Amino acid sequence: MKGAQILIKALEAEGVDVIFGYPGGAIMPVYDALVGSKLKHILVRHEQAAALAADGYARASGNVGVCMATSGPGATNLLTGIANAHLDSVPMVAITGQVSTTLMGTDAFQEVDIFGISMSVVKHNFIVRKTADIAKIVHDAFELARSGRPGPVLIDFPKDVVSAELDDVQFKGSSIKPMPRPEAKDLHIAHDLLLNSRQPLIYAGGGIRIAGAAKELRAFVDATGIPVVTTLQGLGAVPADHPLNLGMLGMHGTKAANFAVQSCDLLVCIGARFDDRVTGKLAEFAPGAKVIHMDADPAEIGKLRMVECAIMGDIKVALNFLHVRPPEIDFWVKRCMLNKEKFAWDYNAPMESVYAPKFIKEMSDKAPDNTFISCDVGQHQMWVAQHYGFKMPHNHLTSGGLGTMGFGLPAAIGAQFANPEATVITVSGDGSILMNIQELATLKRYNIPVKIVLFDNKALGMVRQWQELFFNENYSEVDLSDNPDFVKVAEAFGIPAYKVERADEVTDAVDRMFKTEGPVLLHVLIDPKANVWPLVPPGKSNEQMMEAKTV
Amino acid sequence: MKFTVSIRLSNTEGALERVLGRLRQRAFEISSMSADRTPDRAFIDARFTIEGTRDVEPVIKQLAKLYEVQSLKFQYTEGGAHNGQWQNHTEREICLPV
Repeated sequence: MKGAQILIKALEAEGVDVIFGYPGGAIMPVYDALVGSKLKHILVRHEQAAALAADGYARASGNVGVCMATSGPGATNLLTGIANAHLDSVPMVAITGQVSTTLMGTDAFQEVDIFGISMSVVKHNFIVRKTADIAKIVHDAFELARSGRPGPVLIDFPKDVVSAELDDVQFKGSSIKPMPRPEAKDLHIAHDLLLNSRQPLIYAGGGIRIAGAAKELRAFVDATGIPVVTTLQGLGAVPADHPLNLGMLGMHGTKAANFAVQSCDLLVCIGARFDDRVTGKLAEFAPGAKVIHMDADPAEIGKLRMVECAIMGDIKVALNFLHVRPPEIDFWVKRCMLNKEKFAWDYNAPMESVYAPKFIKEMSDKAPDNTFISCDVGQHQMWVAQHYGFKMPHNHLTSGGLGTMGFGLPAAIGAQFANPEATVITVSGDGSILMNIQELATLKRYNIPVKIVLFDNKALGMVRQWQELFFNENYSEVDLSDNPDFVKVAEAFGIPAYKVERADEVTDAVDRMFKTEGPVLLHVLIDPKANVWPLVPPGKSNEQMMEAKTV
Repeated sequence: MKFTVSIRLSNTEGALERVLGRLRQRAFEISSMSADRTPDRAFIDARFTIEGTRDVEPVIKQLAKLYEVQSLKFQYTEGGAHNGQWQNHTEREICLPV
């Protein structure tokens, strides 16, 4: 058996069903072995999209996403997607071709040291120097990617290693290292902290999705009666319409959430990491709160915030254990609920042009169950976070840690392969969409029924907003008034598209989108001056939220 | 703050580079280092003396979870609470699959 066939069989043994990739010189032996295998290969049109599609697949399915590219530029193009998975703890295995071992280090054609280059954006990486190591390394890479705190693992395969013959190969089945149980003494400390708190608050993050603990979190919330705020990655960890859900916290969080954080006396952080977009000025974040921190990664404990109690290991066990209702929280809960009501979103924008938050709200209300939403990065991403009512955390695919413009379309492709029957929508902006517009060809090629909602404000909106607010309206390189005609662009790729220009067209447009069988693009024109509100200015504490100037 | 970290790494490609990268990214300066491969070629025993202004505990934890790190201990030589005492970090063994 050739090394490349060993690789393919090892991938099959790991339960891989789809690979997103792009062929090239050094990876050719692997593509040769792919023919006739059980693996489905999706040809993207840029390697970055392969990595981002694998990321979207992994987020939407909970399985390890797999991407593949050749050496040199193929490998470097994967990097953004790998870094994206790294910062959001997404399980991924990236396979790169490499020049033959005899040529490595000679500046050979399409040679880069991807092992060295990728080292700081992976959970781990390998170079396979011997054909006999392929099966074991692939197995180890998958186990690493999915165990503990998940992340991307890159394997670099020199051409001679995958070309050599080897008999007698043993394959192991896929495995995961079990998450240890939390320590009893920590659970008891948390129990006492909860019992004695008067103003407790749950701060839930992406760890809920990763652990598959949404059910356990809901039971915990219902049993304790404690209000919840979530991070961007935690949206849907409890349903958006859950009475105790105060919404997202942080820079573009709700006022109810941020006020609750700033006045709580106990913060129960579950699978979140005190990111700067969440905390604002760190020294003033939740100033009166003791902290219970539950996480899979010991390196997160005490990284940015000292904690009274750290609970490591399986959060499901911890959440199930801590069903204790603090006796004196009624006043606090009522106050949180009043804030929630007082600062509820107002969708009555008296304007003729489309109001993006209202569009998203309407889309959310009409979306079938288990609809997946991916986003790009910018204003539209925050509007989705604020106004789409996520019911489960894996339904929301967003590039949180890295903030990768161009994530949305490839991630939606990945999510659709993970869930062929589900509705998958990507919400994008006129800046972001052009970062991976070539993937319209992939939509067409495989007839992937992803719906694209493209909000067009003829600007790099989020940058424009910051220049308006924090750089004295000194607009620098944000004008996109010379955008291409996006409807024509989509049609050139063979994808139907239509324009939505006025508020009174939104209902029909959304209905039409959901009724469309295959892929479709909605080019939605919005007011270039629309900003994302509220906003915690950079470097300020979460109670200093800016609000919209009056219309 | 100055501290010494003593690490046993599995002797695999890139192991030392990974440790050095972590220290560099978090702005720690290495004032001295030594590393020896064990006679059976299975491990590298490395020792670094490191200076930096940031808290060392986070970087110690980040080093401890590297795939190649088999064991790790560190001591403050200046500026820490327990100068001169070795402190073990055994998260790999007791806690989590990394």
